[in-house]
Amino acid sequence: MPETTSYRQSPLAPLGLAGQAASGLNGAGIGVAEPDFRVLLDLRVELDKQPGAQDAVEKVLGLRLPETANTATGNAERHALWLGPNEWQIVIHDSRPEAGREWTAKLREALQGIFCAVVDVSNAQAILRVTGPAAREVLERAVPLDMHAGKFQPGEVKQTVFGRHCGVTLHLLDDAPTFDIYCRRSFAEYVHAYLKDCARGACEDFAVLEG
Amino acid sequence: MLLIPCPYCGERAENEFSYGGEAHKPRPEVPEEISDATWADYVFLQKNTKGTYYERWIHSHGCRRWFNLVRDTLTHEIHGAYRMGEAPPKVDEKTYV
Ligand SMILES: [Zn+2]
Repeated sequence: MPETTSYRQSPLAPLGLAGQAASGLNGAGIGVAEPDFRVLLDLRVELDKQPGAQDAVEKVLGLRLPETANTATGNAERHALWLGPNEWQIVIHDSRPEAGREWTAKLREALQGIFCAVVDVSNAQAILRVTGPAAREVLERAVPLDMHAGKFQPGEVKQTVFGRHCGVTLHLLDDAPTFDIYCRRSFAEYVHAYLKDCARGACEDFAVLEG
Repeated sequence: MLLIPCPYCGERAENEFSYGGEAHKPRPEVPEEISDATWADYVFLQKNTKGTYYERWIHSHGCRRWFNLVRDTLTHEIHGAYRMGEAPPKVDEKTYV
């Protein structure tokens, strides 16, 4: 198979984050990293009307879609994020340029005969990973959610408004705490700048980390 | 700010939502067969109750689903939220003058 030339560029590329990246927090309260490209698929299906869907998804991805609102399932490499009662975002850590097309085709093939929609939205969104002891306090300044550890726990996913107007999906991965923030790519620089602003006063330092 | 109980996501801040006007207002079945006055009535005129009001909201920055809310338009007290197609909760309805 011929090698695919990719002209993909992250919306955060102009910030040159990779050039400033440190390998650890080094005492900073919060660190921000831009992870590598991921495959993001939007899956819509009515599970109660399409009983075969869960098994078909599991066959391809090795995970079952979460039916509890605002939660995620999966492992370090793949997640299914609950977006609505009949909508999920599938996240696959596969950065190859052709990966989006391939996974879309695989999932569609497995779901054949099931009334559903699988759309590749990999290039519509930007991803920022935020980690560190001050992450909750910093994010609290940007979103109207209760960010207290008892109210937002690892494995949960919340969609909300960030800053003045920008929609984001927050996925809490662990107790560090580490959040994956998904936003429309045109808002990526805004989210980054706003986070930096929120960090001022909330914690000692703002670190740029390796993705 | 109101804390609105989305029937899917639970309590969230008002600025995640958008307003959709009066609920339980059936759309005329055959719009081309009714008079302009009846159509205008459907499109523009709402009860606009000062008191207990059944209204539509969408969780636009969250799960993006429409649902119904029972709210007191004077006190902002929220009596409950329910999904589209579900029956409204029993509420001690009030109107003020
Ligand atoms: Zn919701």
